[in-house]
Amino acid sequence: MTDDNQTLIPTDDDETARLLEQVTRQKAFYESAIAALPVRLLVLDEQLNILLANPAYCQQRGVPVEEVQGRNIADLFPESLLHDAGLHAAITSTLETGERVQWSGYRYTTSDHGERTLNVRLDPVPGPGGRRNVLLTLEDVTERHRQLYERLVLQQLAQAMLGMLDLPRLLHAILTGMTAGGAVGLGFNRAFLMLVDEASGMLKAEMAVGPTNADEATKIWSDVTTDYATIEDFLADYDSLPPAEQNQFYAIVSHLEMALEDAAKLPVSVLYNGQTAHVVDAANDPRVPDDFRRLLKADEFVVAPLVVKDRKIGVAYADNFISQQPISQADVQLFTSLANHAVLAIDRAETYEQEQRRAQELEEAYRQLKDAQERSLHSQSLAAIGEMTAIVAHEIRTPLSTIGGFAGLMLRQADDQEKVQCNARIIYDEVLRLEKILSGLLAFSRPSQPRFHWYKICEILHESVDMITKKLGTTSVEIAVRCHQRLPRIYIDRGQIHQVLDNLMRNAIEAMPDGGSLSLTAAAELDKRIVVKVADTGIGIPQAHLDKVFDTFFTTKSSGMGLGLALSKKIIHDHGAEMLVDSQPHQGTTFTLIFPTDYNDLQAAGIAEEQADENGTTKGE
Amino acid sequence: MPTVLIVDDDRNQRLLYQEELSYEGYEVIEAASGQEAIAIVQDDGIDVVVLDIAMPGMDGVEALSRILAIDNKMPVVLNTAYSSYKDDFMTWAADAYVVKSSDLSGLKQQIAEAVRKRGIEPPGVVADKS
Repeated sequence: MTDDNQTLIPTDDDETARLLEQVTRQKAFYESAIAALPVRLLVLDEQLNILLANPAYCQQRGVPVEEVQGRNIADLFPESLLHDAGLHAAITSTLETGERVQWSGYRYTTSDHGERTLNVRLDPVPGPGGRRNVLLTLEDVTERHRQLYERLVLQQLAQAMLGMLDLPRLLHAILTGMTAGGAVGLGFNRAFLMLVDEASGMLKAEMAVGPTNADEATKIWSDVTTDYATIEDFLADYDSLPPAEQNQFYAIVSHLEMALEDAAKLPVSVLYNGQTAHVVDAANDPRVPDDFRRLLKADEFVVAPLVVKDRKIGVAYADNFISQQPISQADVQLFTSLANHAVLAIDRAETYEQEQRRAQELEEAYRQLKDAQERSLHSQSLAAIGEMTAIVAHEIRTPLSTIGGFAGLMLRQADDQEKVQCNARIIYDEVLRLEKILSGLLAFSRPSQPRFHWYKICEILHESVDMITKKLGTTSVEIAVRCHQRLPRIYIDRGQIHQVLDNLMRNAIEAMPDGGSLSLTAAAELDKRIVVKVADTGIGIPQAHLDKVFDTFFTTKSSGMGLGLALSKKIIHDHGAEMLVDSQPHQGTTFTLIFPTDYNDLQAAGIAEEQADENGTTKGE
Repeated sequence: MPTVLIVDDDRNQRLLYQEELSYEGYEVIEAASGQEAIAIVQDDGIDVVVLDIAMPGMDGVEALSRILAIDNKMPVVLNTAYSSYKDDFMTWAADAYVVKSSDLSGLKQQIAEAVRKRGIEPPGVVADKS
């Protein structure tokens, strides 16, 4: 490796010959080793003249060794590498200081505007006369870097695509990923997607990205590559970009339509065999349809299938029509790989779209149902109003016709004092009846707020019976109250419970026109509830009516609006209590009221409890 | 003198019709329920029945069919506070359907016509001054 012969000290001829032979052999060994090295080696002197260049370097330059040897690297290396990238300064520094330098991933622009990546190593080596030379090792890692870099871009693209659920946006992103250079995409010149239209049985161009000529290409992609560092940046700015449909290239490919039956021709064949097709000589390739040749004019292109889970979505096309750069096997692999990621994203986006649509349909159905329900509630309330009006009309019409009729009689018999008085009495009674109807209606539509206190149920029962016997006078009905004085108190609105009991007893008495017995009983249950029963021995309620007795406006009586039991039920409910009915025709009817006395039950019913004090009197009395 | 049977559970209503129709020149008999009315119709001598519909126990519609079962030529005037029963085909068997009103001229007219069907001349109608 060196010219240094100082160590060779001949002792005798034999020895000299032996040593010479050894040196020659070593020299040949090193030279062949250097020649075999795939990296480029140069030995430079202090003036940066080339002392030695290995065949790898000469081959890369395309010149014989003799033309390189002795020349200055300033004449051979591009300016961009030596000065812009700082190689010159580094070499000088190593020559001065003797320090070893190692750079990896060292990028520079070649004279033909390509970009290369080098691993650079500078080793000081001793030169003649104690001078220092430098060994320059250059390893071109452009291809390796490009592949790594493309994988990275692909990964980023795949990730970005999976996050996109808006289909047009996703398709645009896919095409951008295929065409954009730099950090954004795979760097094809033009790309478009053809999607299967199942309705027409055609494969149709859906979206395209690409310039129609070199000028446009420079303009478009210099924008994308300089403005956006990553695909995410590009997509974030997506909405400000002109729509994909508006570009020139789309105008060209939008005419492309292939019948899905044309399975032998590209690009449909790709859809069926699931393999990416790399066409290098379109003019003579029988698979290429005429439309493709005529419209796209590209000799070399690549078509990848977009197929997922046996579902044929479409195909992706790409070429380097503008730059005419050949498509490498690595490019085809990357393109296929991107298409595979793209199809998953498309499938996801379509599924999402379908789900969105289904969700919208459900929402719409729900809205309609809600509307219908509201309308039905409205019409129900209208029907209820109608029903109520009819009942109220009847209730009012009878006394009104009586009043009017007797008023007419009074006019006719104004002289007959006795008759006038009798008729006036009837009119007065009927007016009272009207007032009662009115207050009954009002009580039902605006029941007063209950005011709760603790009461002994026995007292309430006796009071109720006293009141009704006073009102009705003697009847043929025997009324009995059975309850224990020491039952727990119940928490009620006294007036309202009297109203309920009054209503139940009146019904019972009416059910026994020929007499019978009415019994009111109260008993305690194990779970701290008080059960009150109002039982008669009357005609009973037919089974068919039993379910309806608590319904508003349900009545079997000629007068009365069917409000009594409905109102009673509401009052009982407001007490957190229950009301049940049981009846046997011709044997009698029993109404059962079940009152809670337990604090928790009352609280659960939303009734604030007021504790009865020790000596049995209640507060608020 | 034609005889009218008034069937109504409302005492004051019966009183009113009693007064008015007697004044008109009818013989008036009262019944407070469907059952009572049937018992009365079974005995001869009723020329027309004025029947309320909404009554406890047997209602007017049922009473109507029982009355016609006893005497299918018996003129019946339904007199009710409900106009809705008019659509009930069970009421079509009646000769007339009158909605209760303080103006009794409509009812009286229907009674007169029913009586005429029975081949009896209604009593001389007194001009209604009300």
